[in-house]
Amino acid sequence: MRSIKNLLLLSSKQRLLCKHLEGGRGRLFRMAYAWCHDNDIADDVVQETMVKAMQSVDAVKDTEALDGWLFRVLSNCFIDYCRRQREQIDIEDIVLLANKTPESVNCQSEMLAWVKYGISSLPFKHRQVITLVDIESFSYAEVANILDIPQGTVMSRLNRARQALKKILQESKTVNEIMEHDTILKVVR
Amino acid sequence: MNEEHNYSDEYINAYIDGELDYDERKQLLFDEQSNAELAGRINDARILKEKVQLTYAGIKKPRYEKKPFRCAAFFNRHRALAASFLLLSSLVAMLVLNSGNDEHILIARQLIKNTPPTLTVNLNTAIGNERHIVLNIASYDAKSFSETVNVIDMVLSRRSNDGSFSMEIVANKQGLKALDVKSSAHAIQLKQLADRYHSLKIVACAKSLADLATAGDPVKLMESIIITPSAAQQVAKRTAAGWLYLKL
Repeated sequence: MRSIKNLLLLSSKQRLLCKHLEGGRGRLFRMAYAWCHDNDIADDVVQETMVKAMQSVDAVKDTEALDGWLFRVLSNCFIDYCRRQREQIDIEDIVLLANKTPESVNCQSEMLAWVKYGISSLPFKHRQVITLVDIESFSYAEVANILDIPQGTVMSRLNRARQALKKILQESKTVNEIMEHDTILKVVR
Repeated sequence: MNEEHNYSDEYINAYIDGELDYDERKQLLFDEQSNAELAGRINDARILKEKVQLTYAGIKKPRYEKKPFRCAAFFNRHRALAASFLLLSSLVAMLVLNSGNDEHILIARQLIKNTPPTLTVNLNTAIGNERHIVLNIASYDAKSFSETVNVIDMVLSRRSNDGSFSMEIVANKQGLKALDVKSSAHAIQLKQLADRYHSLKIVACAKSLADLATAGDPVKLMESIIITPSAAQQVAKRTAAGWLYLKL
């Protein structure tokens, strides 16, 4: 049976992208969720990513790197989303603050809740690198390409992210010091 | 000073992330065996990485539930208007929600947008021996449409003995004008074709109908016309089932 994706009317790159999106949508959502910890925002960003990817996939030269390119589009869409929310504020000043303390999260493991809290506390640029490397297992070169930064910067950001996360997990006993917040995106003054 | 003490955190990160080459890995493995502190650092780094992986391993796209729509005060004041508004809003909301979550519809939209129109003179050739055709009419020119109807008639006649052949005309946007019994003579002709050939179905897009009605240019359809929530949804449904898509 002929599928819509096999129609000659779609370009070869669009068909390739469709194939990627079939299995890759969940991965995109997971990554967007790891960046914002909000289902609705993650879903919106992934939707936008898919539309933009379909529109611009024909401009991709190296189809072998389509996977990394898709995450690059996701990163750009996420940054655009944050900018639309807070146009006057530098994206690098925005960090995530969990809206609940890990102890209040209905999670199978308190440890996982603390990791989630730790990730959400990292600056966005560090959060991006550690999630791309650890969750999606991208190589340093691929992450450098996705985020358009030098490979050395990937290594240093990853190191800082892991050091910070390690410190947060070590200090996880001081639960009471964590304030409760209602909103997801906050600005660090 | 032992060389293994010089390993930086970044180097250990590169090791657990698989970024080191063979010789570098071999050296680090050798040093790890003889240095408990180094082994501890590597182990800690590995555990941290696995914790991050484990934390997000189960994250999946959620399913959403519809929230109740509350407009009691408005409804009491303007019952008829509110009922129409609610019906139209629900339809549009349903379209938006469904289309947003369906990759096939997304692809169908791209297909409708990017597919070049097939010239009437080429229509018969384009259909060839295909068994299932979805013919999208998104525009209407009364002068040239007569020829289109003739070609469709010819194709249906040619394939009238083929029980597996089926054609679906999906009209949307200005293409709905072709089905307007008030202003188009072709509407009657298409209905006659549908009556004569059971392989032909005519489908109208509800969203475009609503858009035209809102713009003060309503279309009056014949009773036999099938209404679909959206042309993209119908095209997605047919193309996913292997139908050939052609746009006029």
